[in-house]
Amino acid sequence: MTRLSDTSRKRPSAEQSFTIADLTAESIVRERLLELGLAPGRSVQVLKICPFGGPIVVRAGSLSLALRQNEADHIWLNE
Amino acid sequence: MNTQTIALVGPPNSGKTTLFNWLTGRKQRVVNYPGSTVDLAVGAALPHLGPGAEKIEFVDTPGTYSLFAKSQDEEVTSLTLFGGRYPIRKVIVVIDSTHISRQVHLVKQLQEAGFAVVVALTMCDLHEKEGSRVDIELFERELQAPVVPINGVLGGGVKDLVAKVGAIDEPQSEIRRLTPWSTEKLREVFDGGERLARSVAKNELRVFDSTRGLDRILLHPVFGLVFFFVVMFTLFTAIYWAAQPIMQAVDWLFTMGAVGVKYLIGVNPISEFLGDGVIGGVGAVMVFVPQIFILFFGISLLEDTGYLARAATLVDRPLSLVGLNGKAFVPLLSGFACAVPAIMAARSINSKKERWLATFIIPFMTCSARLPVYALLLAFLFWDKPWVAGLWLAALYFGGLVIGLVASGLLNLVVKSKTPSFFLLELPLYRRPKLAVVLRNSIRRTKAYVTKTGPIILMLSVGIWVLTNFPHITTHDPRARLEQSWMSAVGRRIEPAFTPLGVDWRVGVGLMSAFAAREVFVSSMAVMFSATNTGSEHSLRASLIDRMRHARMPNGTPVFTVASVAALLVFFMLALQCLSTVSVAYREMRSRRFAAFQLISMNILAYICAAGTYWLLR
Repeated sequence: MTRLSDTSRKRPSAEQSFTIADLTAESIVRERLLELGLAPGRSVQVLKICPFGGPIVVRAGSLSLALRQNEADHIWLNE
Repeated sequence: MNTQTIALVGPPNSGKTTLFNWLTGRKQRVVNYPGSTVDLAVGAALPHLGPGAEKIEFVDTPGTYSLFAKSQDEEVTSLTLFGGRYPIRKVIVVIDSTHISRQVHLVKQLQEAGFAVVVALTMCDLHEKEGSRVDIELFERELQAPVVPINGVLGGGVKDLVAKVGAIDEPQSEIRRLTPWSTEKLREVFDGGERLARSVAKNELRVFDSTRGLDRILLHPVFGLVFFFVVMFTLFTAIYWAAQPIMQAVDWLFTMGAVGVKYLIGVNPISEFLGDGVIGGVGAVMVFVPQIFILFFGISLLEDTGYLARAATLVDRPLSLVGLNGKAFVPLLSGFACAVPAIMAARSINSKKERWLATFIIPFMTCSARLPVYALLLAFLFWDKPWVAGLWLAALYFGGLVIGLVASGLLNLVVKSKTPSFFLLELPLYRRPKLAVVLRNSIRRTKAYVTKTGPIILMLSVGIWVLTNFPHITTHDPRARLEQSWMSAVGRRIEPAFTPLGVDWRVGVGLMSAFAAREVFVSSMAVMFSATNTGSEHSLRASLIDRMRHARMPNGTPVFTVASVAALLVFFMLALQCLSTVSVAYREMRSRRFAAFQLISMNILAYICAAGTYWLLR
């Protein structure tokens, strides 16, 4: 397993799909991620990383979501 | 039969507010920036929507992803549904058919809470354009609720929706708050949503591809930033170049109005009160309307295209360094027009602490009312070098912004927060902006400026007119009248307070009168130093500057030197001299302490920095 934040740092332009393995964010953020459809078992793709360590833009299904590195630290992916 | 209250509930960007406009005809804006409809809007159904429509009242709730609220605006939705202020038994859930898989759970949550639910399905035209069909019967089976497709652009389906929501039975049982859902339950509901999504479109819609393609450019580390700065630069220059002629026209109109009143009823205290106090006061508010409207038009335009969410994403990182987040971008940007609507826009910031910080620093942004003051003082310093004045103007804008951000960074270290801060921002599809919608939004925001600042500025300018004209109202020479006025008496008494800024009591009176509205400083200086107005604004300024050059202290030294004028510029850059802002900050934050702290600390900071500037340059 790797963190979404690490994956995006390593392969910034690959737009490769990953499967979410686990969410370890604190309850309110975790719940919101689930409600947005970022649930374990679903796939995500890193679309873009904003300059200077800014937010990561991911895609999950029809959703484009900007989230901070902080939040991305708690999203674990299967490689 | 009594009036039924029906709530509109839906996620951000689902087209809920557009539907509300179709249902009630009430002027309200459409949101393309997640989470920005924080006010509740209530409206009666339009009578032409069918029999029984007159008995229906709709409540538009803030966009919410679920009934388990995670931000202040989502709490407003929960409160509306469960708080008991409105007797809500039936709900219209607005669901975006292109995002169906992750919006179904909202329908299920509302049903579980006991509401009678009708689903309004929006954006079906996007599917039809790409050749797929939405199977309404399948949706109704899966959702166990009536489903009505709505065309947001043409208003199709609205009558059908009203008929269906009127026809469903009210729930028999009590409405109850939900107990939290387990992950498994949520996942099950999502799977149902996936089935529906697949039934509509086998492949992904092409509109998503084009949005992602654009995002590759607009969020690009180089092109994205270049585009961002070009857009912002264009917006800011437009505020000045495009607004200038209209502002002059408005200013001329009110000046003529004041002259006209005196002409009609003769020069006497009453006509002077009406002309200079009342009409002048209204003019002080109205003169900024063009500028504020243009800025809000730009913001609404960017919002409606979907770009604003990207701009917020791009600036999130820099703002995070001072304890803010990307959602503070729009409020801060609006602050460059007027702090009052800007503070109201800060409602969309979901964490309490970040909203607190943003509201605190918004008045540091250079609002329209500071411009006439800057223009006067910079013209005094650089009369024959307008481009140098231009550079310093830019420096003052930048200075206000930087000091605001530093203040936020420092306060961030002190202010405690109970709610966790997070930044999750949905990037909506790019859309072609709809002019009608953009116009409606910008007019609504400009109206907020007029109605919130208008009465206060008018009241204060009338009050200041009285203080600067009484008790010797019958004296003909305006300067003599002002010099013997109550305001001057106060000014003379507290003159020592102005000495550290290098100015005398006359400028002090100008500074005090600027608490009605900053630009009043210019007109009270004109009276104080008896500049003559020959009609145009330009010649008034030239005449005033000439008088300022010759103004002397009692000991013979000039009042206006480089040091004292620079001190005044610094003072205006930092001081919170706008009581409309104080009152709106108090109302929005619901805290006297906040408003008092902001008012006192900003003015003390301004005073100290201005005195320091004078001392350094003396």
